Amino acid sequence: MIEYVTRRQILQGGSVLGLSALGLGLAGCGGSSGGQGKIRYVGYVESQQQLKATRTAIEQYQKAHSKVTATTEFSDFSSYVDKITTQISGGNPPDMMSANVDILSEYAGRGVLRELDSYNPGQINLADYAKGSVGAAQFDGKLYGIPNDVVGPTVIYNTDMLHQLGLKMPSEMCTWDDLANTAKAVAKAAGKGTYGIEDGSAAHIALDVYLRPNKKIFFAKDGKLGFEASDLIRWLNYWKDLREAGAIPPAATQAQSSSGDLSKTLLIRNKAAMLLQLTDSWFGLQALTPHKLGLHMLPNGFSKADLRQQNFVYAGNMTCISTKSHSASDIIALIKYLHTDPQGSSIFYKDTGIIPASAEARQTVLSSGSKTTRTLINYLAPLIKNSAEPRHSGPTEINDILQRTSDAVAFGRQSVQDAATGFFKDAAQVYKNR
Amino acid sequence: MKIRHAMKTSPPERAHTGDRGVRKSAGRSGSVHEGRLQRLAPYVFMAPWFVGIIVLTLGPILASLYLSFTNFDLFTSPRWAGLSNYTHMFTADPRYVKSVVVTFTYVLISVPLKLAVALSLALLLNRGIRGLGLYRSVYYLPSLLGGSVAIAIMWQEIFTGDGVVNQFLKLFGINGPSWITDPRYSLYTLVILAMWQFGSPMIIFLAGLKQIPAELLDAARVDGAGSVSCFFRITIPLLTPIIFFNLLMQMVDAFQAFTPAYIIGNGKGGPLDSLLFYTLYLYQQGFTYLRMGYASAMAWVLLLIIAIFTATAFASSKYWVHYGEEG
Repeated sequence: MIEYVTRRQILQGGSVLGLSALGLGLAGCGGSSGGQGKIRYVGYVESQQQLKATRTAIEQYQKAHSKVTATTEFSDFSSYVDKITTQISGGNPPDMMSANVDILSEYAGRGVLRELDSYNPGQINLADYAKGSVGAAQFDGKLYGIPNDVVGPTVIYNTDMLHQLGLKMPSEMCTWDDLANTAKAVAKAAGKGTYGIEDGSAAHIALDVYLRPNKKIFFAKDGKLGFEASDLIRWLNYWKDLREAGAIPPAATQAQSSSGDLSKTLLIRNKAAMLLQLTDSWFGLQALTPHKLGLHMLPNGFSKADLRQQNFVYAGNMTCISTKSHSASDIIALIKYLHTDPQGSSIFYKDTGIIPASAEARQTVLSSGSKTTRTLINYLAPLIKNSAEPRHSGPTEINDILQRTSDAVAFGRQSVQDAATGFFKDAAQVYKNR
Repeated sequence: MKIRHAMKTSPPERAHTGDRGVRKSAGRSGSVHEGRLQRLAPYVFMAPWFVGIIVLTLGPILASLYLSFTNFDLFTSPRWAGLSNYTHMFTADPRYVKSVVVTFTYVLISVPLKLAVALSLALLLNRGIRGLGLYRSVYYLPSLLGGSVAIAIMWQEIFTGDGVVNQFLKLFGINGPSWITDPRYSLYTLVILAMWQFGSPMIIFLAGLKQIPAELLDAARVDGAGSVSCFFRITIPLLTPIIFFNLLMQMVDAFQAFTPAYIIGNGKGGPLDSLLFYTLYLYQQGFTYLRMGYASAMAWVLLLIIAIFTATAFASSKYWVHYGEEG
């Protein structure tokens, strides 16, 4: 049967379709938080192993809890920051999201994250979590995230290279001079083109540890700078001295290594013996090189007589809940499964390089994980027990200013004095604009 | 089989086909209604375009103009700030000035070089060689890929310290610098990348060259003009409208360059801000430092800059662009 359609019908149909499309478009706007049991999880991962483990653990949880539907979107950290900012500012926040210290404070202060104190202790208990990690999940004294891990700053070194050169790392409780002398010795023994340590002058967490013996801190509790120009001048001169001695690479060579791609670091390319990093990078770095990599504490002071523990631990990755989400209780249950359930935690953490903040989960991973995982847990254990005051959050822009300050000195564009003055001038502008 | 021909039946015809009174009045009312629908029809069909232009283009443009006078962090409501974003830009932000310098340098160097390369290749391809279609496609390929993330990553690998370029230089005993991470050279690697994307202007030049009457060139040659004279006295003057068009398009494009600078400069502007392009700094302010009000003000100033450059180009065109009708 053939049936011709009138123009009126076309017009009416067109109007209906047009309005429907508009309606659909408008319906698509606004928050996308699902109803109860529906969870959209956007996060960042440090490695392929972590990505696979996280997805597997969530799938297992859904199998056991048929009412929960979780959709996941993972990326590396740098892509994640852009992604989450765009989603939240577009009114489409995920129910569940990853955060580091800086992201957490940025979003908690703007009312994006749900306060979680009412769930602890109760639905979840953070009593056995590393104190530094729980502290990192707090903003203004309130809990806004559940810490997934425990991390700390560290010196990652190539044990094979040091062995071949007949050199050793200084003792665990060493001074900044000890570290510099080891770097110089490596450069001297290895010859041109190989360096003792990668340039750490732009590493704000290492600078934080450097400031501690003098009762200073990078970011104070209120997020303001906790040090002065004279401290920064000492720090920049420390690295300048190493640069002039050939113990750290020239600026342009270092810039290639600092791209964020671990495979491009001079440590992995066997052109530097040491690298200042966080412990959660160690696992990924070790997977990129046949050489055995070791972990060493950052120096704890300036003279042997006055060495005290200045290294700290905190959380590098936390899970937060959007204030717009209707699935907070389901999310907490999922987090609890991932963190402390024997089955969940053994999948979520096993051989990912992520060390649980919970002591109970650490024990599970310690008994079932690989030798590499056990090494990492054993390195962190004394630090968790005896951590210095964890680092505090502050404007991320300050970290970028430190990078530019370090570059200005390394490329010879500014004297140490001028660069330090410029740092405080630019930082003051950042605080003024907030 | 029932076939409806309502569309083919005019309202007066229908008015005479049955119960007059009722049908007539129904027909008139139907006619008025249908007439209205007919007048509305074009608008209904254009509605998606109107929705697009108003909601997705004009709306955001006007919103960004308003936001440029506010402090807006993307999460909380904008707070009125008057002209402070604009005054801050020109009086208290040295990085803004740096981004302008980097972008102007890039535009002033890359656009003429790109046009020169495109014109040279168009002249080469305008010689009736065999397999011309294939050559055109091959030369056009980089333009298709040029703005992509993958090409930027490839560029990074080629020009890195131990990349292909330096491996090649090593064959001649030259130790090349780290082109990407040395602030003295990093911007110029992006200029080379821009030059490599000559395909689009090349195709337009080629079309322009095909329009030049062969008899003009033949007559000039008969009168004893050499190749150089023919090129500068006939080809270039007749090609000036095309050169002008390409200049405008490439200039606007260069002002908005983003992807290569973002990828090669690690999204932060590279060492010593040597790759801090205007658009990259705008993006950084808006999405990294959450200053969308300031970023909006920067966007409007960029619009103004491009408008001034375009207007200047148009104003100058009467002195050097020759259109056919001038005689």
